[in-house]
Amino acid sequence: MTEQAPTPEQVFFADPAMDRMMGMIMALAAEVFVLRSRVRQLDPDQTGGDEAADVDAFVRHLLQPALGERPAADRP
Amino acid sequence: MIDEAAAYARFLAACRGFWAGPMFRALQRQVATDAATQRIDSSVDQEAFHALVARHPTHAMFGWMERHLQHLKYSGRWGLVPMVNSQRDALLAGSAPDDAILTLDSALQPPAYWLEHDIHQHPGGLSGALAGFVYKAATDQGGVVGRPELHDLFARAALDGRAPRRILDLGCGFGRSTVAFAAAAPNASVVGADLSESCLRLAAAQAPAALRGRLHYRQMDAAAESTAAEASYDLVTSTMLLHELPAAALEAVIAQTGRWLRPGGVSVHLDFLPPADPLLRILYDGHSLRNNEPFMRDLANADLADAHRRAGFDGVEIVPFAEAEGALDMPAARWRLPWTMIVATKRTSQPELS
Ligand SMILES: C[S@@+](CC[C@H](N)C(=O)[O-])C[C@H]1O[C@@H](n2cnc3c(N)ncnc32)[C@H](O)[C@@H]1O
Repeated sequence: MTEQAPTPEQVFFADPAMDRMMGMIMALAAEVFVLRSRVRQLDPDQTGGDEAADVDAFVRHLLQPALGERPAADRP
Repeated sequence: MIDEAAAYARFLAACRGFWAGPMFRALQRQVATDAATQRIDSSVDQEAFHALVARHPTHAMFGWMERHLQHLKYSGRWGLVPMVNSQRDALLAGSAPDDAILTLDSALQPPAYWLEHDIHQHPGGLSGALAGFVYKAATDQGGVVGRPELHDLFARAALDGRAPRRILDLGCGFGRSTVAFAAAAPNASVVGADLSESCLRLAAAQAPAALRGRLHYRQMDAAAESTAAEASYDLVTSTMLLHELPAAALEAVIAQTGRWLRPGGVSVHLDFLPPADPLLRILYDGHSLRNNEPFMRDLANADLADAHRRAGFDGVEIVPFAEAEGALDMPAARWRLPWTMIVATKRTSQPELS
């Protein structure tokens, strides 16, 4: 039986390679977050703080650069 | 493994929160600034505005996130489909084969549009044996669609002080909308109808003990001629069904609804109609493409007033629905689907021939 050819994924960026890179970055980020919560379980003292605040801070740190805006603090 | 899946789900939910909040607001802000600089009035120069949004890098990022966060949720390493599949035997063993409040139709031929599209990017759609569990797990992860309050809020708004005795809930899924109507209308018996055997089994298995006596789940195609008694319902309702129907099926559901209702009976559908704001409209159309909701554009283009009149209703009322406080405020603080109630009353007498 021949394998069915997969349909191409939708493209959002001007260069389709960017779409694929984004997929790899998000997969890695998910991996890091899962590891991070594993570390938190093993060693709560090291990561400290509240989990809900941590995930929001982690995601802000990850996705803020996606907005392409200069942080207010270093505006000339 | 389960802990890892839970951490993964929290990560994706937080990404979704950033996407619908800060990323959406950045998009609004940046597009407004660019349109002003280029002297494009979004409500007049529609083509130029579309082009501006289409090539905007923040729009590309917003679109990518919408599509891929949903994809990761269902199909990623710890996605819902692999997670539910890993518990297959236990889940199937827990759902009783026979249930007095469940009527399945083994001869039912599901329509092609329902079988062929992985709606919401749910691989395989709702036809598989585990589909109901995947759908439930998806809603359990939060978001507006997952909040039980949404259904309670809608049931109260749809009842609007009326006390129907017989209610039909079309496209009932695993019964969240059906249960909400049974709870809000204490004198009513409520029938939930859907194509998905898996969803209906789950709905019956989970029916709350206190409401069970007034609930029934039936496998049927809401767009097909049915054997269900005509003119016997006081209220026919649906929650997020209409945008899943291609134009001909949408028309057929409205026509059937006219037959099921008694004269003076009311139909209330909760769904997503296109917003007036030009940027929100672009995002609405984009959502249809990105989330595999191909028929949302059929609903957007439908002449609902005409379809209802032909089905024996006195026209139709379109009522914006606030799923949360401040949800209808403009400019929007978060990206949301434009929840809307479509309300119509079945005529009590034949229209006069002109
Ligand atoms: C988005 S779900 C909503 C489920 C439920 N009303 C809720 O709010 O949780 C839409 C449902 O409509 C069902 N559906 C789609 N086309 C249908 C049809 N022609 N007849 C009956 N049900 C249908 C799907 O199987 C699915 O369960």
